[in-house]
Amino acid sequence: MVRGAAFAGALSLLSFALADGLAVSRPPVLEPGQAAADQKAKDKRRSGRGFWARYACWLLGQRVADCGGWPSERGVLAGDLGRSDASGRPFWPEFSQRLGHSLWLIGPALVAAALASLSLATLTLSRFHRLDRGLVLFAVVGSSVPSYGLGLLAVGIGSLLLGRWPATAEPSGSMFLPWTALTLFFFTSWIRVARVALRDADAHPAAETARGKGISGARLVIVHLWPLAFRPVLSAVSEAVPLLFAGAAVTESIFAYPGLARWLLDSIAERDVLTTANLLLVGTGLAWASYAGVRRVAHHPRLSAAPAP
Amino acid sequence: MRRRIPLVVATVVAVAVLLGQASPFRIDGDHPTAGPSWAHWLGTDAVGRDVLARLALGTLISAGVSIAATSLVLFEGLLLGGLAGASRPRLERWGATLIDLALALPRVPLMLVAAAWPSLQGWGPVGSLVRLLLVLALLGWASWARMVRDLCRELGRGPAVRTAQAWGASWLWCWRAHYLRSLRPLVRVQARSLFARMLYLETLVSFLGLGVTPPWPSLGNLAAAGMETFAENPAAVAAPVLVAALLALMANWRADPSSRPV
Repeated sequence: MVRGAAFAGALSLLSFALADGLAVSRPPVLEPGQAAADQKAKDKRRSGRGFWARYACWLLGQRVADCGGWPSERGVLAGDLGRSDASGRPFWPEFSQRLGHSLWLIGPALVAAALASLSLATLTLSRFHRLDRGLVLFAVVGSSVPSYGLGLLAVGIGSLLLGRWPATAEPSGSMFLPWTALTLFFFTSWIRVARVALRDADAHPAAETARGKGISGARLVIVHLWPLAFRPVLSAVSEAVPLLFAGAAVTESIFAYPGLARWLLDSIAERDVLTTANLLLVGTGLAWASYAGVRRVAHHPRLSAAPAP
Repeated sequence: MRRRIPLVVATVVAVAVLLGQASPFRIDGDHPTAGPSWAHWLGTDAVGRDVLARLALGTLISAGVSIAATSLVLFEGLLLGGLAGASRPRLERWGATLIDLALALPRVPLMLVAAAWPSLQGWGPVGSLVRLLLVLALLGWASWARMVRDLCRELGRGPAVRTAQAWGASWLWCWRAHYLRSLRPLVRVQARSLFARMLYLETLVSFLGLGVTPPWPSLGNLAAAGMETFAENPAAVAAPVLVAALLALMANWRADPSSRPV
């Protein structure tokens, strides 16, 4: 309990300090398209308050005596994340809308990449040596291509060369190109892990015994190999959870997609300290929760009952 | 290493010749957004600067930042992982917790925000490079440190270290004679792998407009600038992406021989 509170406190301090640093020594010029009144309000909010006072205002809102005019009434501790400096919209409605967009972008790509890497890795187990060689070569080369390279490749081929899909993406429109770019990004990261895990599982005594008893190929894969390979794959995926953002940020940036990563980039560009701090806080919390969750699943006694290969 | 010296010398000479042919900052106002020609082998960018000369300088900058960041991360990982894996149990626990916390942080968003700080503005263009280097070094050490910690723990339980300790060897002596020697092959492999990762992160941050500040080129901001002239000069996008991919591929290929097709 104490550790959790200390960790949450450290996360909030880190998020606010990083975001607050964006505004330090900011030249007194207006950003393009920003109203003078908004700028004055932002400057007034900073002036005369030290870092810890601003941090207290962010945490507790206008309940602190010195925090009159702060855009959040009850503060982050009470779940009130206030309004965006740039758009003036409340944080939570915008966040939930953008989270939905980001999930719609990442979810199908994750599922497609997981299915493709697991199926192809399974295919390369006993036969298809040429496929195995090709796949490994593709994975090594593909994981060396930067994610923005994959996005640009998708735009270049799909939109400019073939002219079939638009170069921008919207949640309600065509998502083929961003999904393809992200699927390739995830696939090249995971295929090697899935391949090695399945090979280790294939050499496990349980698999060899089952094979000796005459179990069919499909049953061997489903009953023995996949469960044995599950833990290492999940462990590798859990380490990649924080890196999911990199792929999403690039894809959203290239395709001008209105997701969470794009929102963070926009708020950084606009020096919107509050939105950036809020996004970092929620993002670090979510990343920690998903990391811990996946780790817990990976070490679940029911799932880890079989001895590790 | 001796075999690689001619390659390094040839690369440096080629870059010097390219930079001598055309300055990466000289603006050719008559030929903005031009395609490849004899005068400009990879064409020009939106304001008429030679793409090849900028690519040569950008490659040097990206590779230089990545190599420096890799060195710093290797040092941090050895220090923190070593402390967490080869010291007293209480320190071990704290070290392991610190590494786990750092691993769970979404490093890329934190990196993006930190890279956008307006600090070191007085340093000119070097300021953005130093800032980027520090950000990469501060946020990239966690997984390497955990690897070092695990290996150090294993070594600490082994007979060699235990015997040395029984003979009264100091922690520092054990560290130098046993831990560091055993870690050397891992450092060699991990340096290549880390270089590929640092290069990716450097180009990613620069691509998103928060890394190396224009007019100084890096592979990332060259690719982003090339997007504006994609239709007229695709080479301006393809070349930096290809160079970044080739550099990362060379590093990955040497770092991970087990995954090569047999």
